[in-house]
Formats: sequence, C-alpha cells, structure tokens
Amino acid sequence: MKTTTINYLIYVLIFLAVSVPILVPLGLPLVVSKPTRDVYEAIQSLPANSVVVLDVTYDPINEVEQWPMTLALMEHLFTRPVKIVLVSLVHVGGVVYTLRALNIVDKHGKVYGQDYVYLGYFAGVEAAMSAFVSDMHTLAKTDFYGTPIDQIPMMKNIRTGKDINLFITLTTAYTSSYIGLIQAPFKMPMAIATVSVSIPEVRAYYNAGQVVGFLNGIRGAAEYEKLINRPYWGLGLMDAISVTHVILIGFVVLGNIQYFYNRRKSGGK
Amino acid sequence: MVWYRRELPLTITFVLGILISSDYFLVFAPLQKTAVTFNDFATIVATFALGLGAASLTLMHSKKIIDRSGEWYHSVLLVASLLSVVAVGLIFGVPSDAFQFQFKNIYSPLEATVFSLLAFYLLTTAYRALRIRTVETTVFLVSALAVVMMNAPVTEFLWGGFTNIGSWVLNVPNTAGQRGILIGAAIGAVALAIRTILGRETGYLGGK
Amino acid sequence: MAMIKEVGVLAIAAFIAIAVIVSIYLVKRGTLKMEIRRIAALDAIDMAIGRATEMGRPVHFTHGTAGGLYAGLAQGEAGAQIVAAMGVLSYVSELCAKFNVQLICTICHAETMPLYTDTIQLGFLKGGRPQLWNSDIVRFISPYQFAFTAGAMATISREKPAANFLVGPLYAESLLLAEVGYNVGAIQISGSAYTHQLPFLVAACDYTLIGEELYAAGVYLSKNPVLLGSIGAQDLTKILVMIFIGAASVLLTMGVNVIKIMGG
Repeated sequence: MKTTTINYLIYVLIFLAVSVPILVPLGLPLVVSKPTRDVYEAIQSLPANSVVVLDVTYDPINEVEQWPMTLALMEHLFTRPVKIVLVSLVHVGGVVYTLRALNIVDKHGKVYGQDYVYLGYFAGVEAAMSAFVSDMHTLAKTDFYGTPIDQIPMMKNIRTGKDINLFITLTTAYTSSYIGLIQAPFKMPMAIATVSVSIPEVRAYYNAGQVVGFLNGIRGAAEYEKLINRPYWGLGLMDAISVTHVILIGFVVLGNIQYFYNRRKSGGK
Repeated sequence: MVWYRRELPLTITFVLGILISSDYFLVFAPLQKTAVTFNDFATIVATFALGLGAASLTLMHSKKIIDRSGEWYHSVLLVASLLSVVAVGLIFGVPSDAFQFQFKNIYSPLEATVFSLLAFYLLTTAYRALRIRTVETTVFLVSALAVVMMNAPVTEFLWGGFTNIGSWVLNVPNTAGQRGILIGAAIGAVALAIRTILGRETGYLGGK
Repeated sequence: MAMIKEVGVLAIAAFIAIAVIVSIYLVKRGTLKMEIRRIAALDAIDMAIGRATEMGRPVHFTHGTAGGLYAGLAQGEAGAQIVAAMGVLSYVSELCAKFNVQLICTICHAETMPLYTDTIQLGFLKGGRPQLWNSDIVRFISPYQFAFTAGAMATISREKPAANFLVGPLYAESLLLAEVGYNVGAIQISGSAYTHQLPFLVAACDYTLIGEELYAAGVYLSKNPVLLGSIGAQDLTKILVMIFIGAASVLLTMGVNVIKIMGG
C-alpha cells in the first residue's frame, strides 16, 4: 500500500477513534496504578493542619491533560483538614486555571485566608522556585488579590520549605528543577502531576524515592477521578485513549507485515 | 577582527557568567542584588528583541506583499492579523473583552489544533519507524509496544501482565537510560558553560 | 559576610572547571593526546549539505522553541543547548557558503536573532562567501510555541529543504517538524539533551545527537585538538560518578547508606 494512502487511512481512523468514544462512551474498565494511588494516599494520610502547596503551572496547550488533574487534586485537598497554599511558579497560564478551579470546586466550608490562599504567579522559573522555598514572605509580599501576606492568618507560620508537608506540582517539564531546588534541599515529600511525555523522567525520581507519587497525564487524571469518585474529562477520555492505542498497535503490526512482505518479494534484500 | 566583535562579548560573557554563577553558590546580599539587576537587564533586552523580531517579521512579509512574490496573500493575512491585535491591544487594552476574544477564540483553538496534529503524526511515525529491521529497532519496537499496552486501559483489562511488563520497561531500562543521559548531559552542560565563560566555546563567534 | 550554599554542587562544578582548565592546558602543552570517537550525526552534516548542493535545494535549521530569555532566564539548560546548537550552525553555515547552498533558519525567540545572524555571517565569511548573507535567512516566526511550529512547518513544506537540522532544546514541536521534513524528503539531523523529546527524534530523524553529544558538537566540528581536553575532563568526571555510584550501591547492599551520611 502506498505511504500516502496509509497516512490518509491513519488520519481518518484516528479522527474516528478519538471522536466516536467521546460521543458514544464505551465504559471500558480502568485499573488504578500504584503511583496514582501513592499520591492519593500521601494526601489522605496528612495529619490535620498540614501545609500542602499546590503549584498549578501549565499553559493552555496542556489543558486537556492537566485541567482534569487540577480539579481532581483540588477537590480532594478541600475535603482534607489541611492548609492549602496555591501558587504558580512556571507558566503564567496557571493563574487562569487556578482561578477557574477555585470557582468550580466545592470548598467544603474552607475559608480563604484561614484554610487556603492563592499567592499568584511568579516569573523567573528556577529563580522563583528557589525564592519560594527560601522565604515565601519575601517573594510574595501580597497574595494574588493584594492582601499583604503578613495579614493572612494562615501564612503566619508558613515561611519556608521547612514548613511544607507536601508539595504537589502540576507542571509540564522542569522536573529536575523542582527536585533540585525544592525537594532536595528540604527533603519534602513531593508529588508531580504532569503530561505523559514527561513521565519517563519523573519515574527515575519516583523510583529513587524523591517523588512520593505521580499522575501520568490524562490517564492519571482518570485514575484520580475514579479514586475520589468525581468523574470528569479524564474518565470521559479514557475510551478514546484505549481505542487510539489499539489502532497504534494495529498499525505497527501492519507496518511490520508490509515490511516483511516487501522484503520477501524483493528476495530478502 | 575588531575588538568589539570578539573581545568585548567574551569579556562580558566572562564577567556576567562568574557573577550569576557566584550568586547561586554564595549568600551575599550585594551580589544577589547585582544578579537580580542583570536578570532584569536581560528581560529588558529580550523585550526589545521582541520588538525587533516583530519589525523584522513585518518588513519581510511587507516586502513579499509589495513584490507580489510567492504566496503573498498569506503574508497579507499575517500582517493584517499582527496589526489588528496590536491595534486592539493599544486602543482597548490587554484585559479588554475584545483583546481576550482574539486570544481565547482565535489563537487558543488554533494552537490546540496544531498541537493535536501530534496525534496523527505520532501514528504515522510509529507506522514508519517501528519495524523489525535491526536489533536496536526491534528493542525500540518491543519497549514502545510494552508501554503502550500498559497505558491503554483496554489491553490492561485483557491481560494484567501487560502492566508488569510495561512497568518493568519503565522502571529498569528506561530509568537507567534516563539517569545516564541526565547525568551525562548535566556534566556536558557544566563543561560547556565553563568553556563559554572562559571564552573557549566560540561556535557562536565564528569558531576561532 | 558571604556564606556558601549548595556545597555539594559547588564541589562538583569546581572539580569539572579545574579538570577542564587543566586538561586544556595539558593538551596545549602536548603532554596529553586526546581522540574522540566518531559521532555519526556530526559526520553526516557534510553528506547532508552535499545532498542539498546536488539537489539544488536549501538547508533548514532551527533550535526549537525552548530557551527564551523572555521566559525569565531560567531555562539555563535550554540556553546551554542553544549555545551548543550555534556550534553546529557555525559549521553548517560555513559549508553552505563553501557549496553555495541556500540556508534558512526559523527562530522562535527574537533575542536569539542577533546570535543567529552573527553565527551565520561569520560562518559565511569562513566559507569564503560573505556576500551570501541576506536578512531573509533568519526568519523570526512567533514567540508562541505552536504559532512558531505552524510557521516552521509551512516554511519546510514550501521551501522543501534537502537537509533539515533540528538541533537544540526542542519541545513538542520536534515530532511535527521532523514529520514534515520527512514528507518533503529531507535528510534530518537532530539533537537534544531533553530526554522527553529524544524518542521522537530518534524515531523520526535519520541521525540524532543524544544528550551530551550535542554539547560536544562544537568541539568535534571545530576539530580543535586543544578543546578535546575539555571533553576528556567531562569523561573523567563521568568515570568518577560511575565509580561513586558503584561503590555507594555496594555499600548500600552492605547496609551503609552513603547518601544519608553525606546529608542526602
């Protein structure tokens, strides 16, 4: 078969594979993986009044994978008796998603300033990360809404990385920077919720114990939604993921069959 | 070669390289202040460079329009879009609904569209590249399939063993390779930085 | 009073710095002779430019979308990759001048435009044809990732280069650019130190520089024997790291956690 024909066939099949399961859900089963469960357990096992930092920091390109994770993680955190510090350390897009998520999630009676706070976006990526864990009060003179940080009740005792009990980041890359600048100096438990393409790198840190758990792209979002029993995009897209993966496997097999057939036809050359 | 094409940039590179690196290792307030100032300088330079880039883009495409060369009508669209976004931003302001409309309803969907091409191209690349040609490509194929089958919920449901195989591939050879490449690349980056600071890495200055 | 932080990192960086300086000095003196193994991707540059000459088609070069100063200067690793990519671009532009081949560069960050301009002009000068330079060679497309990607894809589709260089800190655009390059029949030489893009580049391109091969590219292509000393210093550091990892693993098996003892 000609390459262009195969390409057009691939394009049509992928379009159908993604669109049909979204319109007609197949309800395929989903097994929750250990890294996702570890993130869930890390949050679930936090004692009361623990400090959790949720760093929402991705741009619109990664919205599909990371928006459902944002909602799922925030939903779970707001059910726990913990103090939540929201921040955006890398991409300014995080501001949009943090504010949008805060408008949507059920806060379970939590009060702004006492139980959760949003410090806003800080430019500088690695410089911002380093400054955040060195002294939050120097980096963030006010919260996102302009209230001086000294006047925010919950921030009185939260100043440096030493005061953080769990750091969760929704980042797309910069894993090494988070580990090197935030996790390693303070040995704090860190969970990473990131896009699938970054997971091989995150796994190395997970296996070393530097990351307590991770969410693997849209699948991680779906697993977390299943764990907290709040279905959203993640679970909704799993059928499309399944069908697309099966088509990928099918085309790889087809490609190899064609390759061996052509080789045989040309006398093994 | 005149001194400002070579000696001056190398001197600036050396001084600023030492300054910014020292700030990372030393806790010294005046040094930190200086480093922050130079970081701000860099941001200002980058902002001016953005203007330079926009001007270069406009000039290049305007030339195409005037000469009616190639697909000049695409250049008309580009220049018109650029000018309209600038005009709306200047007249109504960046937080205005009009400006946000352009970003949310025109740019963002276009961006998502180009990003989604990845899915199609990924499959065509997989079809083309994942062949049992040599030992290396076979290993590539087997590992890719193992991870794909681990990630797809339906294959995992068919046989739980796919999860174990995929996890092993990710936890053992992948982690080993990642760590090796990360450590090697990090050491390489440090050595490159030292060569650049010392003025030995002159690729960007023409080589000699 | 200054206080030192990140002592461990400083020690490693200082060791590498001293090793680089000493090895360059020893090679210059003639005490040390260094040889570097063949790197297929870099050897293929000559063949790629030769192909472009025969076919009468241009050469395309880009370093991708990472590494903007505007992003806050924080992408230090991306910046290092861009400097390394300039080493490759310098050689590519020298060959393009030698063989009178058109060069097209697409860039995402306007602050790299002077870097590209200077590198190419000097490369053309070295290649003996400084008059080849014109302002259309370096094309700034957009600071936004996928706007740049769309523009670069369109450039490749229209110009149909015979050789496509994707060298530097590439993000998600790597596969898109590589596929379009393949579709127009270009020979593709890529290189990145970002592990999340390497699988795509290896699958889609003809040659790939992996990790530190990219950082060694400038030294390799300059054929400067003195600078090979710095590659030797890198390799010495890696050997010491390997010995440390091996010894620490054995000690950990025996119940001695070296990392914990060192404060890790």
